[in-house]
Amino acid sequence: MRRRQMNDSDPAKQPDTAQDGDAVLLQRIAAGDRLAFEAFYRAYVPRLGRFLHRLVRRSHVIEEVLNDAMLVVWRSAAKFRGQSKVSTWVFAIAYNKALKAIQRIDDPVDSDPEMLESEQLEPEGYLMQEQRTALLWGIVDRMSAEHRAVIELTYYHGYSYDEIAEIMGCPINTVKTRMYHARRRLQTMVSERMEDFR
Amino acid sequence: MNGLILRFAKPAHQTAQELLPWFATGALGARESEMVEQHLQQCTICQADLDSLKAVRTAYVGREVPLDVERLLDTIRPRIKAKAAAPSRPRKRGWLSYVPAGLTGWTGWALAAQLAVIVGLGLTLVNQPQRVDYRTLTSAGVTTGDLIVEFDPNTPVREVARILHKSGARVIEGPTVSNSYVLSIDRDRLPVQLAALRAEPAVVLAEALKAPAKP
Repeated sequence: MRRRQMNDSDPAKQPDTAQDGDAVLLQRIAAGDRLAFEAFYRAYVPRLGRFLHRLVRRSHVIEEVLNDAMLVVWRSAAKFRGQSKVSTWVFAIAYNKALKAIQRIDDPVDSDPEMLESEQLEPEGYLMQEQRTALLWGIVDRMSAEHRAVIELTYYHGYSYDEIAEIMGCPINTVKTRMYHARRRLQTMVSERMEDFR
Repeated sequence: MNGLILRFAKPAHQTAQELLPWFATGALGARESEMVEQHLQQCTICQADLDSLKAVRTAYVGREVPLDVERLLDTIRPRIKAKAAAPSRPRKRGWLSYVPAGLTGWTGWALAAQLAVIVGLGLTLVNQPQRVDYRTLTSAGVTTGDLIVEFDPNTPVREVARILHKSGARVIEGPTVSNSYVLSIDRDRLPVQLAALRAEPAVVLAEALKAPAKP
């Protein structure tokens, strides 16, 4: 998925109508406008839901974290100063909530039934798209939450490395390093099945 | 040597390897994108990695995660209403809910403190006529009572109240630090009441402030 095409040296400074619209909604939310919040919620929940699904991977926890994050948006909208994009601000809130939830559930990643199922898949001639996805998700699920977040934010959400650094609250070089190692690991594990990914 | 020189000193291959994922998603700036493109033209390793990366990414993106947004919205609405619906139920509103959005934190408290001071001063002005007849003995001004009575400092409040009630007098001023009161009383009964007060063990002093009424 390509979120946008970059034509300038600093992607974060690109004008973005959607972001402007989000900022207006956020201002209305700060003033206590519930309808604005609902519009914001409908716009962000699908994206945040996917992000949290890949990060937390427990449906009941996903919904809890999702609403906790959106409640922070409702209560803290006035604190948004426009120094970052609205979407990175919201994703940063969700990311921090997700990390806390992951620590709280204390459930080993390896025990995820969905992941184990995907690992048992054997390619027969070629893998269907759904099976390829399940296979890759199973591999990524074995990585740390930080590596999962970098993969998801880059591959699915199309964020730039500096935006990811902002969401995760870490240096840009850390993002690049995490991505490099996550990509290497992914490539190593799928290399034997590379024909199935062409 | 500065950071910029160090940045360009990094091998082009290493830089391209780091940036390939964002090159593939179109999330690089023009300058970095051009740098990666130039490197790709001469690096078969990076070309292969880019092909592999694109294939992996396509497979990874996969499907949307089904979420019932409206159902989720229903679960969060009550928590939102708790904040926004308060004005429609004035009897249940807490006084804090009257504070406009944005007046939170120390600014809100500072304004509240100022408001409290203003209200306090206003009440003082409004109540002034009623307080003319009641002053502490240490305050300046003219005392208008008929007698003064001083109690033993160790006298319980309940006992003081009993004696004052029994006398039928009205407290005009007091108590002072010496536990004295100025009382207003029917001047015809002043001599009798003075005697009665002086008979109380708790009364240290009882004296008329004005001459008794002439018969």
